[in-house]
Amino acid sequence: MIHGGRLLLAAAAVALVATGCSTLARPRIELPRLGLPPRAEVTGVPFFPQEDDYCGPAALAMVLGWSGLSVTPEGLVGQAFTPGREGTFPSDIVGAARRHGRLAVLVTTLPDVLRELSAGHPVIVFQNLGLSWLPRWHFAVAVGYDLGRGELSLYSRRERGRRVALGTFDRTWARGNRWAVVVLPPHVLPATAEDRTVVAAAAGLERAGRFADAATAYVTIADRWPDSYPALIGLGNARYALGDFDAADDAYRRAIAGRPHEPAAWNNLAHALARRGRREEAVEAARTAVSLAWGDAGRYEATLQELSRE
Amino acid sequence: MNLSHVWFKLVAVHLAAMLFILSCPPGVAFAGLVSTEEVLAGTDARTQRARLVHFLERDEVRAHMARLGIPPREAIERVAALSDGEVARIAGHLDTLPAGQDPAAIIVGAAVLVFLVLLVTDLLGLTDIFPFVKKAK
Repeated sequence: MIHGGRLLLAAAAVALVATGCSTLARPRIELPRLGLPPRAEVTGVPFFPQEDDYCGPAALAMVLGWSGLSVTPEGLVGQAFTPGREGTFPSDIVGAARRHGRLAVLVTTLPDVLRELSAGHPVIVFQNLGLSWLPRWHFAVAVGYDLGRGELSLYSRRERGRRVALGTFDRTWARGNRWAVVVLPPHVLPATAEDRTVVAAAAGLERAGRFADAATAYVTIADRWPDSYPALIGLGNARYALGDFDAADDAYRRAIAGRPHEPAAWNNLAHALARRGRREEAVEAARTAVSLAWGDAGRYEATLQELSRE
Repeated sequence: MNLSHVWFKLVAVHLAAMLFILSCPPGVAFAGLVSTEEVLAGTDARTQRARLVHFLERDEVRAHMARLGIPPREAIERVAALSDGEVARIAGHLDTLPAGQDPAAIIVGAAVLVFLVLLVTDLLGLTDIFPFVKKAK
């Protein structure tokens, strides 16, 4: 049985090299006492089996479906799949979500993933199911957890409700640089993010040309964080893009009320006033912007010149 | 139109954009709204040069996406939906950035690896898996 012994030895050597010795330790995960419910299950997530290389479009279709849109993985291939790489980039998941009028907010820690799940939000997670040197990148959708069993529940590949040990998941997720995202309707805030993070997600809706959705998101953010200066500027900008200059004016004035020394708010107010035909007030606001500018005042001077000329 | 013409056109467009922006005297900026992104990043007073960098990065990503088989019109839409920061992070890296795929392929990959290892060990006479391998004595 010498041959058998040698084979076993060779296999063990391959396994050792393949996994890297350090990773042979049993996965352990320490979740601090977070006041999380012991288990959570997100309902209303449609299941699409992930066929071939279309795990990205399928994962996105599942969360968009949960958010109230009826889309299919096939319908998302054009926006989220890159033929030359036979796969989906995380950035295209974010971009395609925005193009559907949805807030895409990144989640970066395991406790935050669990918090989103307990708030009823499914989470797209980007895992490396392979090894660092033999990577196999994969998008799955986390839909629940059970702290008592130490398990996470995933919609992954062709399995609905695949249960994975939290420690195992955390490793495959860490190997994917802990990239995860919640995809939310614009009137729903993530459970974990700060105001600036959500404002950035709403600004992404502006980038994608979804100005009405962006405005809804900014209103929601400003309700939750009434002092959020970026949210009020965003609200003004979205309304301005929609051609609602009265409402834009109102948002910029709310921003100014909270932060009277920000030249950007005065600059944008000047443009809104000009569009409303209030020329003198517009020039006055533009002048205020120039007087408040620190550093390079070039763009504020340009606004003042343009509005004075007309 | 052959390939060199396409390249010539691309270079020409870039040069024209750069000349246009750089020819503006310093201090002269375009009037307009300060974007939400700029307010967040505190870059409302950024220079035209910084804007040019972002413009060129977007163009680079767009062209790269097209090389990876995305229709040009769709590539424009994809890049448009990203912030300047997000574009900067992927610019120049689309050939190597991780992209989610079919995880089952790893089983095939691992099988090939194991096969190759055992083939070598067979050839060396350490193992005796494959009858078609002529063992070293």
